[in-house]
Amino acid sequence: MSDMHQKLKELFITELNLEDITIEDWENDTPLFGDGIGLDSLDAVEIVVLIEKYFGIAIASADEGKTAMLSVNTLVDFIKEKQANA
Amino acid sequence: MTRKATSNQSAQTWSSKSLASHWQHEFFYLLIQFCGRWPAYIFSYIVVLCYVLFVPEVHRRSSYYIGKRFPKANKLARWYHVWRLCQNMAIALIDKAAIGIRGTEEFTYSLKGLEELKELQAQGNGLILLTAHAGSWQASLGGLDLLETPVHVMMYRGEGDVDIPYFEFTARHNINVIPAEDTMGSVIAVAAALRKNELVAIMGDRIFPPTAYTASVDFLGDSALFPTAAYKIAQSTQAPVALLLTRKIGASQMELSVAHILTVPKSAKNNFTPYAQEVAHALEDYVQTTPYQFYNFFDLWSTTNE
Repeated sequence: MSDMHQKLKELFITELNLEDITIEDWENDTPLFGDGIGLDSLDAVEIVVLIEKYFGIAIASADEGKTAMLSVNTLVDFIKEKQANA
Repeated sequence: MTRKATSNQSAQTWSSKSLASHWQHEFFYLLIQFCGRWPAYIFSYIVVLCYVLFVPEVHRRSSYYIGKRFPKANKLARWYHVWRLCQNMAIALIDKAAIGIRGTEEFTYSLKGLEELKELQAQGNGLILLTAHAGSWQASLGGLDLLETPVHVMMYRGEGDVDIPYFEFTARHNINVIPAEDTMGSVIAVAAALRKNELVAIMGDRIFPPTAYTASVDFLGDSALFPTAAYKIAQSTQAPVALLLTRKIGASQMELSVAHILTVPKSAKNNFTPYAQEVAHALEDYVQTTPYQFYNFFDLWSTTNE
């Protein structure tokens, strides 16, 4: 697990009040929404804000966001790709 | 390892399907296209009167609001209130179609609180325009051109919406519709727009489709369930919220006014009831002064979150 994976999970647990979830139990490819971590659609707003605040990356569209927010893995890939192209 | 939702889904059976048939709508569209709004207005008086006289469903759908707004009305008075409400609704539909068919030049717009909205946007967190089914709200959105900034309108379109092809906001250069049917996509689009310091319009008085984000508030003397998703978005993005209500104030004049402004602090956690209540109070003020331009034809008061 990379530092970025770790940081994202810590952020989500703290900022989204995920009380019953630990970093150790959280697989990188577990879906963030629905039957995975169990986030609801409005949590996506908080994720957009957090990614911009902590990584300086803006999620510009719904299509981009839906692809990026599938799991922690896809979010890390998205952030790295954006940082590489910056 | 799944986080549970904080409240249950709302349960409300409501359809956006019009009581009128497809050909009746087509007739009015042709009338507007070739003859303008005025013949359609005149014809609507005959049609609405027939519906009020012979279609019990009209009274059932209207009774929820009319019963709360005019609780002491006798049967005859209630019949009159239903007719006034339905007639205004018909005119609102004609206005909406007229803009789609003939363009925004059909109407003039005024916006009370324009400077307030500009000041709120200047804070840099975007701005949520909370709207309601009041006045010709879709037709009035043309007035948002006065803001000279992109406005994203979050809108649910049901399969029964027969007037979709006639009103696509194409006449407005700065309005973009976000389809709420794509729940996840619409939420991300809203967040992205707010982060760009743009404006987002969200309905503040109807829960549809079902959602866990609701609050029971006092509205017209009884407990009603209002949506709270807008306040959750405001909390996350720190975007201020302005309740923007519309009125038709003349045959060709629409008025938009800022009825209430609120901010949702991060410390609000997930208790959004006070904000929904503030909005409900502002809507009560609206229906006291404009009783026949509140177009909610479903039972706000029997909606449950069980």
